[in-house]
Amino acid sequence: MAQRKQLRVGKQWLYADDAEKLLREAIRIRQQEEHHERESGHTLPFWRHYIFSTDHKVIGLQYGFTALCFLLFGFSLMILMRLQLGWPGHAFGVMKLLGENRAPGGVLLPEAYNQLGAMHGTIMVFLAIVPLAVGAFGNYIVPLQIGAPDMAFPKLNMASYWCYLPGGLIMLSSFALPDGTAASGWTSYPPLSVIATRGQTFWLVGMIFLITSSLLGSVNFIVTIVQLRAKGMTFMRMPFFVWAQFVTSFLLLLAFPPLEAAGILQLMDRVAGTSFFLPSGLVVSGTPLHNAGGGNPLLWQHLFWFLAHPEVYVLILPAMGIIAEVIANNTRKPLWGQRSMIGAVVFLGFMSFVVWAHHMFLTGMGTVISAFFQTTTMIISIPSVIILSALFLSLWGASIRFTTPMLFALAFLPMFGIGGLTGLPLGLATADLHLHDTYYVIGHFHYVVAPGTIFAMFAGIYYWFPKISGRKLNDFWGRVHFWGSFVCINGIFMPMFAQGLAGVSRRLYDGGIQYAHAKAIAEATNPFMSLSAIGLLCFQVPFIVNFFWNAFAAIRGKKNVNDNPWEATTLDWAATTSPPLGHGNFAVLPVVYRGPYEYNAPECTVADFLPQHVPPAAEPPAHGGGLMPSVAAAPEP
Amino acid sequence: MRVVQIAAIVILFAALTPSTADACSVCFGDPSSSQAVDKAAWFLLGITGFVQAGFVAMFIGFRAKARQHRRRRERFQLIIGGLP
Repeated sequence: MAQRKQLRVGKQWLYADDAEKLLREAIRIRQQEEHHERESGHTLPFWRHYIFSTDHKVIGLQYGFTALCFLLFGFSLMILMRLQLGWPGHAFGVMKLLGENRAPGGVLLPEAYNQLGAMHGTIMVFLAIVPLAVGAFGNYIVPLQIGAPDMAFPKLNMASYWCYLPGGLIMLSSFALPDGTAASGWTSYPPLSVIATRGQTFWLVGMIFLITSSLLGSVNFIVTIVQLRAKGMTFMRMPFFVWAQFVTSFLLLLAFPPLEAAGILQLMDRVAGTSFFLPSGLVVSGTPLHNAGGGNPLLWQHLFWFLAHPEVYVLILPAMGIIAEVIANNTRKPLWGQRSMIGAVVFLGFMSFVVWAHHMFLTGMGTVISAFFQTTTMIISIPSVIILSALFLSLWGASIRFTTPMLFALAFLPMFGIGGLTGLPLGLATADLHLHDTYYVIGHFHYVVAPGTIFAMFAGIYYWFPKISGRKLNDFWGRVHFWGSFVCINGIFMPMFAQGLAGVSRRLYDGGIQYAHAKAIAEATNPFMSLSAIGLLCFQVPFIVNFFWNAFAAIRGKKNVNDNPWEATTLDWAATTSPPLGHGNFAVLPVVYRGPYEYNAPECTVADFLPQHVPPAAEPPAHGGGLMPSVAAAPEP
Repeated sequence: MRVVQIAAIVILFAALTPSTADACSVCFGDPSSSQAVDKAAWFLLGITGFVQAGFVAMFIGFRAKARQHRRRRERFQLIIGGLP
């Protein structure tokens, strides 16, 4: 065996090949530092710093602001729909905004109602909640929580945002078309979608952009979490939020490509005369469709739901991650069963790919395949229950701080529970026969996504706003926002279960009053639900004012909290408030010594929390802070 | 390299054989039967399982590499104060 050469470095002897490796590493780190020095600070022009930024924090803020705008827009479409459902056929001044061709005299036309429904669903899912949960929170928080200087591929990150924004704008631009937007539901089932107006083409092109954006983002998250964790940040020491984002990224990476392919195929069916999804003998308005034949509409449904069911978990997992952070912090306790939660979230990720066809029991699937999907659907409820139970049990015996983010987090638990449990009957073919395409389904998934995920998003905004801006959002107005939203949102969605059980179909322009079986319950509940929706809109005003008031104050440099106002333990709070908007979050990359939720541990003698980066001998200051000199973030330029 | 060459030849052969288009993913060779789509669903499940197994294998590989790396690091001893 060949003798390895040795070199003396200072007082130490090193093998020559190892010394060479160290030297190369030192050169690489120096080059990286020089690059960061060039990229960070105010030396960059405005458009590089704030518009085409490659910094994860700026991109996170871009995603967040854009997604919140889309969220408000999608919500406004829902208000128009609820006005129509509450008082069918009545004229409303606000409807005139849609134009005379969609709402002549302020009375909404049925085809315009379909457009509002399709765009509400699409905007809320693909343009608002997923970008907010993954693009905004994931981008801003994940690198901070794992102690990374930035995302692994900053330019890919920028490309991701710049695919998302044009995708959204393309979809929205279809509102300007004379024949309007897509109107085939957010599911865009063919053959209806293939023969629909031009808005559907815009929808498909927009979706292709959005899917590309998600794919770029998901690859980036996976590589960042695998490769850029700080020293000592083992997988089991990662906060649950990072785990949730990690699994979510795999879901996006695996689920979206089939829909992208399917979207292109449907686009070809519409513009190139192919027939992937058109059955033989299709007749439209008495005329046979010349290019139809040999295709299968069910194929689209399979490909769509292959994405869209994992998409449900893309919506809910980051929300669970946020809730876990908020609950651990405000109960001042470690999460109960954290390892079980991690196991559950990974299992959930795997299982989410083998349940999609429970959305399609009514398509005449064979009994064998139907039984298979019923079984997997029942199985997938187990990890969700584990996570929810662990979060509930984390509250047990805690000295809970009822802060605004905690209120939203506490509300999430029963709301998501209602949404999840009402989904079980839909996963069984016999019950689904009755409930399919009724308002029960709408109630079920809105409980998961609206008072579920959106409440979690609000919890996250209230929780991390001080990190981003250096200011806490006003607590009083936060509580007004919470209680108003909580009451009104239940007023909208709870009656939907009763409507669905009474057999009221979804997507009815008049809410069902023309049907004998639906008339009574529709007339009894729809006006109340619509008033609740208007109330919900009103209770968002305190949030919007609170948000912008404090955002502008922060921009003017008025900060009112210290670096760690919630006395949290994870690494995101180890950087200074509003980490400098440029590459690099920490002057010295932190070292992690323990798990993410060390609250009231036996080692905590001075304060009730022990941050992840504090060496075992040291303790955080008694009142907040928790920032150790070794990891002080770079000073603001 | 040999494996790659064989794989390339197989893929090229498959791509140039028109009969591969017979049982397309739309109808699996039987457009009149609804059961054909069920076959497509089973096929998709199989592909999904295969890809997920790949992810599992990737993480098992990561773990093995991490162990190997740790063992190497532990074997390497820094000689403080120079050679005796």
